[in-house]
Amino acid sequence: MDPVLDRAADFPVSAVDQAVLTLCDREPIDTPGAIQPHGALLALEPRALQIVHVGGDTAALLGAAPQFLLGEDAARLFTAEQVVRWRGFADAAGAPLRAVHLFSLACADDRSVTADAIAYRSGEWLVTEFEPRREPAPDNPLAVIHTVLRNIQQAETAQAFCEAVVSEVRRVIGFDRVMFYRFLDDGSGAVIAEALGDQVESFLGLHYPESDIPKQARELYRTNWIRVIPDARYAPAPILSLPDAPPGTLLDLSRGAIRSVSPVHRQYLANMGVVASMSMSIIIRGRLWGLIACHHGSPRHLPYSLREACELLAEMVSSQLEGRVAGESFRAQQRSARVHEELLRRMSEEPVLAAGLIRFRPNLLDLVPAGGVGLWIDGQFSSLGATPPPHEIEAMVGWLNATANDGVFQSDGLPLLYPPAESFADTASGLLALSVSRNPRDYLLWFRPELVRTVNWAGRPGKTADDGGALTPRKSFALWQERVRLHASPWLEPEVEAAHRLRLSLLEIVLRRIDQSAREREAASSRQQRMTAELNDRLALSERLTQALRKESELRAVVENELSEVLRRTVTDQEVERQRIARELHDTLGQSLTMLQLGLQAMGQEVSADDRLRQRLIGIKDLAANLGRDVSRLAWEIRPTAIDDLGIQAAIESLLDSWSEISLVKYELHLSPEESPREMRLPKAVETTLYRVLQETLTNVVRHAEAHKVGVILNISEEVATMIVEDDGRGFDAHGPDIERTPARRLGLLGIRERLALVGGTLEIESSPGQGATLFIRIPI
Amino acid sequence: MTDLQPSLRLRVFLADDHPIVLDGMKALIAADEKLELVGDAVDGPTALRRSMDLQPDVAVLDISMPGMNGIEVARKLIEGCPHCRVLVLTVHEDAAYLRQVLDIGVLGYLLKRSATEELSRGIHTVAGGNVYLDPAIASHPTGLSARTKRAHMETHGTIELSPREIEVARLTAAGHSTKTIALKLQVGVKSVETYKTRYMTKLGFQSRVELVNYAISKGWLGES
Repeated sequence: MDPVLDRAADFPVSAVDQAVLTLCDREPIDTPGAIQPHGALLALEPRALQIVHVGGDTAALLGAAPQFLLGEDAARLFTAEQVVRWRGFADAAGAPLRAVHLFSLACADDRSVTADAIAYRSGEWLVTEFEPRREPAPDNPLAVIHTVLRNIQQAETAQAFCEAVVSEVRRVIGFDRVMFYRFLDDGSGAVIAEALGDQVESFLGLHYPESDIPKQARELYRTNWIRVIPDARYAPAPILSLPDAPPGTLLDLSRGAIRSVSPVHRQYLANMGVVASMSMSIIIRGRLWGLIACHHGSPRHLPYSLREACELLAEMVSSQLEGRVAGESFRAQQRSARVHEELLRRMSEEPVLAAGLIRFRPNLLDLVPAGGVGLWIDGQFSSLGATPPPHEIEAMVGWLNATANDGVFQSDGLPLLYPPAESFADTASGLLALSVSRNPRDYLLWFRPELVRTVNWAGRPGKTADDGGALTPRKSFALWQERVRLHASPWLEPEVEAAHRLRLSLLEIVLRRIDQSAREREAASSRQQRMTAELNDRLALSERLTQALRKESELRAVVENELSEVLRRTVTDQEVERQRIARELHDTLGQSLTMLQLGLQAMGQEVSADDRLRQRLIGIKDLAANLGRDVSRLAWEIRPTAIDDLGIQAAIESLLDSWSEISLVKYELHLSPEESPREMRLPKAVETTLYRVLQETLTNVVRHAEAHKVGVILNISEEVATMIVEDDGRGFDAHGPDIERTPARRLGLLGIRERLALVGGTLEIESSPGQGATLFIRIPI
Repeated sequence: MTDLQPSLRLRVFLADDHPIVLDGMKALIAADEKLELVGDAVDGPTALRRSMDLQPDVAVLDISMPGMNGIEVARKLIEGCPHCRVLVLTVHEDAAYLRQVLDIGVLGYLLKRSATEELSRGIHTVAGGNVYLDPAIASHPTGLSARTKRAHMETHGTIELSPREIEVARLTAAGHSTKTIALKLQVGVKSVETYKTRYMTKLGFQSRVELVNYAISKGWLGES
């Protein structure tokens, strides 16, 4: 009776049977050639309104069995008003996409029951479906929808929204179970929200393979927003067609509401214990995003108006969901971009790449959600979360190097591509790998676990437990589990994009770092070179300076030596000269004077008589005597012969004697020893120096000191000759600034020091104003 | 010209390396009737030899003659001729020379420039066994001051000085400056000056020389 069902009966209905699936795929669900028997269908030829196809419960609704209506003129059977509506619909330019409500009529078998006539074009035919209202319709369906919309508005996230939607839909239509299905890219799907009545089995979390809702159906649902099955236990009512019309099997009933659905589907519902079902499409941007599926355990005949309202609701929910999904997607992108920025910033601070990407929050897992993430850098593996063991990573990296050539590798079924991964499919069924350097490759690796481990359907075992091979939710889930074995949750496009972007940034950073460190090394090396060169220069300069200094020192030493030599010679020459002069004075001049005196004396003898002449002679003799005395004195002053003949002690004593007489300053002398035998006498230069120093000092005393008494001590030991000259005069500030002393005094002292220096001697002065002065002269021997 | 017996005239020997001076002196002696020139020489060795031979009463010797030092001649003559009186003739007015000469027993010291006036008198004076000093030199006291002062020192033996004062006094007498003493004793210069003032006051000294003499008398300078 049911051509489809008959056909299907030839094949065992097994969940895992590919043949069945293929059959389902090819099942012509939009042209089933039969309808659900609770309503009736007329397909009219639009001009003459002749009934070309007919089927369903026309007897109850229209008062005649289908075969009696076939070929009849609809204008005759219906009221003029109804006919007018038909004509109006037929004549309307452009075919509306959806069915429109033409009119209502009272059911033939029960005038208290109203039936709705809905019309739509199907090919060249004007199809009209009649549906009795078996449940009360709401007074204001739009208001109902308004309320629903208002109630679901508040939900912010897509998930919360879906939950609100199913909750509201159940409130409005009262089905036992209202679910929100979501389709994934591969056609499989999951129940993401659910509103349940008491004691109703939950399908929340149920995943089912794509075969459960075959391609045909999904295509249909894209154009047809709502489908209802008031009672799935029906036996399909065939559509009868006029013999010369194309057979009813080709009548496209997809726009309508009462087409008969796939027997497989009915079986499935029966296996679930579902009697009435309704599903609304959620279409976003032309794609079937999901379904709102409603199940009820007993027959439900939603009135047309409510159904219309639900259709509208589906459209609005779709658009609202779209907004939310888009918003979430946008926010996710923003989040991802922020994470990206933050990761980059971290990496610029951390010298070690791994630290910046893993150690902090946000980290790589915030960028792309996964079970775990790892970094394979320079043969070192660092990880966060659940990852395969390091030795597996090494092998995997090697395989990646060979297979993935363009820097990014992704798979949500890694073990199928890389068999060794089967042993750790629990962590690495999904892999997203980015290479971040050239050779050998460094990688960022995200791992996702096998999906079946994360998805558990919380469904309770129902009466479907022992259905053998029949298609049931449990079977669906098992099938789904089979299909997703060794698979992970797929990598979403935004995630992969984010990974790509990160990779580019990383490469940039890595390159920059290599560049930078190369530049730094170079800078450091050239800096070092510069410094070394500078150092060498300075050393060379220093060397030259040292050399120059040394030469100058040597030169100076030479000059000083020469100067000393000159000075010494000058002094010696001076003394020698003085000595010569003195001796000359003494000997030559002195002798001559003596002779002069003697001559005069002799002359005096002979000139005895003349007094005047005698007197004159005496006068001349006195003159001569004085001259002699002066000469003698002068010679003595220039250089006393005593120094040479008698020794320094005798000479000093004479000096003090005569000086004291002239200056009227008393003196005390202490000599130790009192006399040196000729063999023990000091070198002539030393004796002369001591004499001259004393001479100068005594002169100074007279000039500056205003002293009463002078004490001289001469001590000659084996090592040193010491002469101490002490006066009780005015004194002076021996340590004060030179300004206080008169230039003459300064020169005098300087001269003494110079003279002493020539023989290696030193001068020390002790004096303070008012307390006289003491000179310590030491000459080492 | 004179009737005096040759034996009553003083026998004089002259030695001078300058011939003209010698002639002049000879003339001076000839002019004095009490003097008789018995010999002369122009160098040291000859003077010594001849005078030893002649054994004059008075020998007038120029100190600075070639060959042998006049002082040497004088000394040898005095040794070899006890009754010879020596009068040295010299250009040296230095008192030091005088002392040296007198120490060996020379009785007379005459400056050449005074010779014309004083030769006769000098000879006569020393002939009588007296010291003759040329007046031109005699005004120089011959440095007796140090010696006389030393005599005073010995009466100061019992002054009480503190150990520190003694330390400083010893070092000062040894010829060290105040600064050096301060370093040696590891005290300040002012402290040393204070000690100095104290002991000088205690001892009644005003000069270093006095202190030195005191130190010698105390035997402090043995180990300086």
